[in-house]
Amino acid sequence: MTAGTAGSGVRVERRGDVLVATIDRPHRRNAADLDVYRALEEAVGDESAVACVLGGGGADFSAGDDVAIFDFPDAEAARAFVVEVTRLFRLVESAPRPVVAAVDGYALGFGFELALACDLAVATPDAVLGLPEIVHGAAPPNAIGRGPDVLGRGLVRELALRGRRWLTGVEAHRYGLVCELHPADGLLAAAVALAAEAASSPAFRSAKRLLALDAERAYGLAPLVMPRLLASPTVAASRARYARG
Amino acid sequence: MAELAARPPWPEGPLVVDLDRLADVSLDDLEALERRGAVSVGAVSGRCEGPALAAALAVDLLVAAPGAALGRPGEWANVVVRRGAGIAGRKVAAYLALTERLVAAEQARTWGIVSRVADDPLAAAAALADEIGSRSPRAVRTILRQAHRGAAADYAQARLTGARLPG
Repeated sequence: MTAGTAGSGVRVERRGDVLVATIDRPHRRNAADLDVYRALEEAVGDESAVACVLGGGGADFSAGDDVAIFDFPDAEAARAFVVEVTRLFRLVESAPRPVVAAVDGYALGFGFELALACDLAVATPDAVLGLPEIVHGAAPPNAIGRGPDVLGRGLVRELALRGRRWLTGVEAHRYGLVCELHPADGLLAAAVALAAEAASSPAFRSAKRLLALDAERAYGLAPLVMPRLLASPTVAASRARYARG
Repeated sequence: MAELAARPPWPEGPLVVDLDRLADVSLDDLEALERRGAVSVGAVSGRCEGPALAAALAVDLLVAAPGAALGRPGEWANVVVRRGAGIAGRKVAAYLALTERLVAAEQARTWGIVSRVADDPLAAAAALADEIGSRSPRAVRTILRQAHRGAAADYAQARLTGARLPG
């Protein structure tokens, strides 16, 4: 077992041939910043692993983008940020190896979208999955683009517009976002086993290409709509509130 | 009354497909099943694997016994991914296609793959096919044509993506 990428907010280790990347910023409920995106991109792109599992350290998967970093001098800086996030999702969907999410606690906003981008997701029954962006004056374009062919258009619309309508792990399983439920102490092992099994499927490569056929178009939305929204006064006010803690 | 079939060529009119005894199907036969202008109801009481799983995603409605289990598409993974995603979502389709795990009838019902769980799936499927067969054939044909939109593209993709698929 090897550990790596100190200081990036992501812990990386090996379980056999499977790479496990754990978002490890428990003081921010594993909210992600640019370092986290880049470390996850590196983990997902690691060609020495047959599969990749993404999880969260402590009690949560990821509570979202860290709103504290939403401090963009102009729309171009905001655009660069949005491009980085969609780059991660595109990598997850195009990587020639299975990427499995292990979801416990909060999977909100970015955390929800990351679980959605993964090939498979497992969760604890009381995990909490939602899209609270609208509460902060923002929006979840990647969930709107990629969510309907998992959850249906109606449910994605409701989650995105209400912000506070969150799914439990049990509901996410019923709706097909999560394919298996496990208790917290067996979650990671189940995700690793599932990832290794998918990697050994002779159908994996062609199936993954077929699953990602519509992904590019879906992820094209965010860089178009998000920069101006992220530079808006409502998002700035939300950032100020979170920066104070 | 609905006819019962377990192998192609498919008869015209309301149809029950016995998936436990399914034999001699190709991708073309499944595509033809989706293109029929009359209702088809699948019935499964045991394991629904390989071509039977692909056929379970091609019929209009599916009735399963409580002990039925679905999964393991084998060489039919590509078509299960494409047609399964439209029924149960992309992630459930991936789960069915990429793992060796079997999904129980009740779970398949919550995922929208199974329409009804019944102790005698063949009888329940026949009742469903007869019920729909009693409606206006023109209305049924119109609904089915729309409901199966995208099928040709999905089968074409499944063929193109380099898998060793029959048919």
